[in-house]
Amino acid sequence: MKKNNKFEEIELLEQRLSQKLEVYKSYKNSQNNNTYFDSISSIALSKIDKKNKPFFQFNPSVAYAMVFIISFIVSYQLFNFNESFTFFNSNFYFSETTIWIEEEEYLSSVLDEEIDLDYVNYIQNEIEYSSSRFIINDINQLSDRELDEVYENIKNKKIF
Amino acid sequence: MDFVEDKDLVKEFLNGNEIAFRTIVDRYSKKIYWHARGMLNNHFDADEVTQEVIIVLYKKLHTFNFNSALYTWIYRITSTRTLNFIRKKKIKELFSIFDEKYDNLKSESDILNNFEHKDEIERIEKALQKLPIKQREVFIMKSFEEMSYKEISEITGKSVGGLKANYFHALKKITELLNEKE
Repeated sequence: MKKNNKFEEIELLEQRLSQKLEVYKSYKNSQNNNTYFDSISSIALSKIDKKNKPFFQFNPSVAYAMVFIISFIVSYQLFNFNESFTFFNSNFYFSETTIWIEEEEYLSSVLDEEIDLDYVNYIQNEIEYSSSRFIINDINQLSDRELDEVYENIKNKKIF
Repeated sequence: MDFVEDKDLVKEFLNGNEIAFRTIVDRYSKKIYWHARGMLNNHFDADEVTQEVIIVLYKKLHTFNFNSALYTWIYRITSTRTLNFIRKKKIKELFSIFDEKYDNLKSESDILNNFEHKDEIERIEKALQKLPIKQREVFIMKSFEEMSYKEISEITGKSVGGLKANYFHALKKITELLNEKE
């Protein structure tokens, strides 16, 4: 009984609302906004296209041509075709390839630079090394008695 | 063009036919938009959700398992995306990200602007906004989209009994709200 009452109440409310909601429904189902809905579909689909599109698009033949050109340039840089290639050339390592020559030049420039930069330290190290050698020489020349005395002094912290 | 079943369109799209996807979009974009519009109460946000749902459909259509109707599946996505949008909007409002310029932009581009019964529709939309989200969703699906409780249950995952109760409360409240303003 209670259930039937509720059902009747729902029906009544729906009837009271139906006229008001009909305006909404008729507008919703009308063809007036077809232009908008065509455009919204296009916008969404264009977004999808943009997402699917890769950053760079190459024609395969252009891509192959580019790979060929790049590999040719790289190989030309590696080998100097003007000079004849022979294993009996005594100067092989530094004359047959441009890379070797460049590397040698680079290394020599780096070495020059380092010597210039570390020259003071180098001299200082040399002096220290030779003076330590002198001390070793002096120690070697000490007699046993003198050596004991130096040892005792070191032990009693008299030297430092 | 002959009418093609939804499931056949999905199969065609999955086989690489992009036109089939366009047909699906044309068939459902209005329904997606009006559901979102009813829930969100403005054109600008409904437009955003509709575009988002279309993009999701494109990406996820391969996961459609053909166990349910396509429209049920699409409505489920629309419902989820709309509810997520409402949640995000509430958070943004909490930090006052929206301003008046944004609101003006929303009203300028509204498709309702050229409609002679614009005021009546706006009154219904405002009344809908006063309903709790669950009641609003059931009311829109039942009254405007004319779905059965079983269909709504499949989409929302709620029991038929619960949906009936929600619909009854929504109906009562909407009737009161629309009558009191007259």
